[in-house]
Amino acid sequence: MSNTLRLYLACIRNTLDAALCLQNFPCQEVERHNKPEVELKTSPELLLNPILICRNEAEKCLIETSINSLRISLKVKQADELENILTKKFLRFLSMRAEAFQVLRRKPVQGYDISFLITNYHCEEMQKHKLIDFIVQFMEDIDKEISELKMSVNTRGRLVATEFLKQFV
Amino acid sequence: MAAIAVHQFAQCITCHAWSPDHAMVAFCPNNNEVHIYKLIQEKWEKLHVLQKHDQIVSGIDWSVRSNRIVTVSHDRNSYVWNQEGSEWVPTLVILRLNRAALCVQWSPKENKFAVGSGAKTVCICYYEQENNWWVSKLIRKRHDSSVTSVAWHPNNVFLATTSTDGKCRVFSTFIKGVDIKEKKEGTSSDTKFGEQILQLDLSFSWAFGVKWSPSGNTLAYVGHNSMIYFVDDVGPSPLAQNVAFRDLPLRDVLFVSEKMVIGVGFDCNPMVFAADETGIWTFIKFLDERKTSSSGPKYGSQFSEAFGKLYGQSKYGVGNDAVESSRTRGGTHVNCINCIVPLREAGSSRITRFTTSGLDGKIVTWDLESQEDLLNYHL
Amino acid sequence: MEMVKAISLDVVEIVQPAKEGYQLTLRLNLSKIPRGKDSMKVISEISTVQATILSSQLKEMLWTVNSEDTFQGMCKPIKLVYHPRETFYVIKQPLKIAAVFPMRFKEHSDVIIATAFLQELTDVGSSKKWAKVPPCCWAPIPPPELRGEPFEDLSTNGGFVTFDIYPRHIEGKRLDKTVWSLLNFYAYVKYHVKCTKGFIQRRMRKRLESLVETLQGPNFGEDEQTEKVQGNARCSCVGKSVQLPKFKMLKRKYGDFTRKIKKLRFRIKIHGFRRFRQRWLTIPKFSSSMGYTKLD
Repeated sequence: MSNTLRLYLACIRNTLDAALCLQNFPCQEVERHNKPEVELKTSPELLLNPILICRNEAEKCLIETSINSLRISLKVKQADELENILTKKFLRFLSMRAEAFQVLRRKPVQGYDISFLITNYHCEEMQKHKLIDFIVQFMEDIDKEISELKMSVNTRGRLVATEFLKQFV
Repeated sequence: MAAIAVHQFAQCITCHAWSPDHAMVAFCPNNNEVHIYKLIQEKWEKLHVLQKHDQIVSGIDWSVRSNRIVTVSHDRNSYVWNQEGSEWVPTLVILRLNRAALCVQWSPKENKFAVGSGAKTVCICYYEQENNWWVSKLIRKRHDSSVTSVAWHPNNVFLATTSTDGKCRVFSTFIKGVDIKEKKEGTSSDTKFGEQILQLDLSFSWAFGVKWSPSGNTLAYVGHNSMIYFVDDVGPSPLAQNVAFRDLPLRDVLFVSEKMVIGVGFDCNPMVFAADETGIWTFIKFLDERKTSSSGPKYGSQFSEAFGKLYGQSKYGVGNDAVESSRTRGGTHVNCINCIVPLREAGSSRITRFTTSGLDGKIVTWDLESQEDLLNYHL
Repeated sequence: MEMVKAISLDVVEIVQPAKEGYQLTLRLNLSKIPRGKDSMKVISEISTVQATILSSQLKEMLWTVNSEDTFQGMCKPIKLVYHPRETFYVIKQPLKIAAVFPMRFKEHSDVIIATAFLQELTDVGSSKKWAKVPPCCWAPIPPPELRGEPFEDLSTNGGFVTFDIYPRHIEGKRLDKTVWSLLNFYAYVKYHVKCTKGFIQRRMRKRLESLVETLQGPNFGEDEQTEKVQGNARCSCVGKSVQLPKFKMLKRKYGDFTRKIKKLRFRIKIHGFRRFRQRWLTIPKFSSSMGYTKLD
């Protein structure tokens, strides 16, 4: 793992550690409701300032926190068209199976590739450090997966091309 | 070890309260019920389940003298439970709230209780003998956001509140016919019901967990920006101290003496704050000795990164690699602590024992007697 | 060309004249299709009629490379329609014939996977080891030889692939192979795209599983830890009775879940396998048709 990536992830990990201080908080606007404030954004005093962590232009991470929920949105690097569609495919694939992850938001926040929504209920069910581990691992895995996918798609292409050309000999 | 007993009662506990003799504990297992357990022959047994609320119970208080339990819930209602024989009989209190109730506390004389709410109001409830009914009076003014915590001054009239608008306020709750005018101290009890005595605007973020010192001279509350605030001489010219700490924010505090405060919160470990002879408050230590494997590489991550480069990455670098899992909390509590309750000995103003509960579903009893280094603060 | 079909037994009958809009109509006499293994053979032969016609067409054209009557200048491109959306051009040039494939795909992602493949193809093709094969190249714009063709035929999203066929590629037996390869180039690329997508999907599913595991982990960790604490605290544990069933429930739930995933994957594997087998089945079918065309 490159040094900059490690620093980037460490920074995200520390920020999440500080930001994941959520509590059960009922809605101030609607009776008998309990909604993630970070999504509603109806009470500005319940929101904290969003934090943007950038590794570079193409890779960034936005952490928005409210009293009972936190939203983390990632932009994954896409060096070329192939990486672009692989990322899109992969993230869409995951988003469609969001129920398996619980914390995954079905739709990413605009301008980002994928978003997580962590509420106080997740913090109650799971341990905080495990949640953070999951997010960081997820980021690592996405990067790894995309580059591996790209590589294997190319290798496949090469093998298949070789097979095709063999026919001429 | 400071923690003398650990009990896993549920998956997650929102709040808890002890019976006057400390033989029973009432808590909410993060749902609409209140469970009461009793210690019978060294074993905790579930005696009662109080089911009346239909949303999560956010506050429980058990009065010491009258042995009554008051519960409030996100369903906007409050019940006062009286023990009749072996049963707990609920009385509905019409709070006249249109949003969730968040916290509750009996007044020292136990003739009133205060409820903080998400409707940006505080309810003061008192018993009307003639109607056999709990009446709620609202303090509607002032709060710009939800009221997260309420605390009674020992004089039974002053009420301190914290709110997510970041402010801490003190109100008078004098109710004619319930409170008797004290002649000798004209200043304190003169004020009308609902009048604001003080507004403290110290925190930049949400404020939680307000408490008075046993004498009522000092007020402590916490801000979500990892600060704790101590206010002396509550009145026209208060003296405030801000103590910042580098750990995660606190949720609640408890005065164990005039000079010592225990704070609990997101760091899962009670923090001890104390005032020296000159009255300056400082952070003393964590109460729970952490069996830490990762003694805080988090704070120094950039720093030790630099060290890592110096020492060829071997020693320090490993610890910072992203494969490393984040700080595992080796403490007694493994998730956020959100409630701290004193275990008051009868006839003693000193508190040496208290219990904490949190999102990990444990109720932990702590003892300060064994903490010799704290004894001099703890008079 | 038509002679070809005459050989396909007495089952097929050429209807004269052909139906309007078609060049050839066949009448099948179903009762005469032999039973057993032979029936498969006959049916596959009938179904390859189209391929046969086209291949002979192409073959004829390729033959002309050898013929010495090289006219000066360029020849007009000849359009070959194997499938309405999959046309390609054969252009006769001095000493060689260029086969140009305009690549079109429905989805953007297909375009990119195919492009990656085509680049690999040109890469491999231009390496020394493969010097003997027809040189191929890929370009996003149509080659100059196609100038003058209708615009809609030249608009592609996947660029153009050109194979240069030299006389040595159509010597003897190689002719059949070359014809076969060129005719099936589209199918080949499309099949590759499809397989790659399936492969990506499979990989993603696998990764999903491993990610879910990291997230599911916490609950287990918690249970472990609390039990440890209970052990340490040396006190009566009320929680135990509450804890254990919950733990089991969780475990069961989790087990269920993984089983479900396994089932899911299993089914998909079979599916892919079947497709794979089908593919293998079709190849002999086509090659049999090749052997068959040799007769004329």
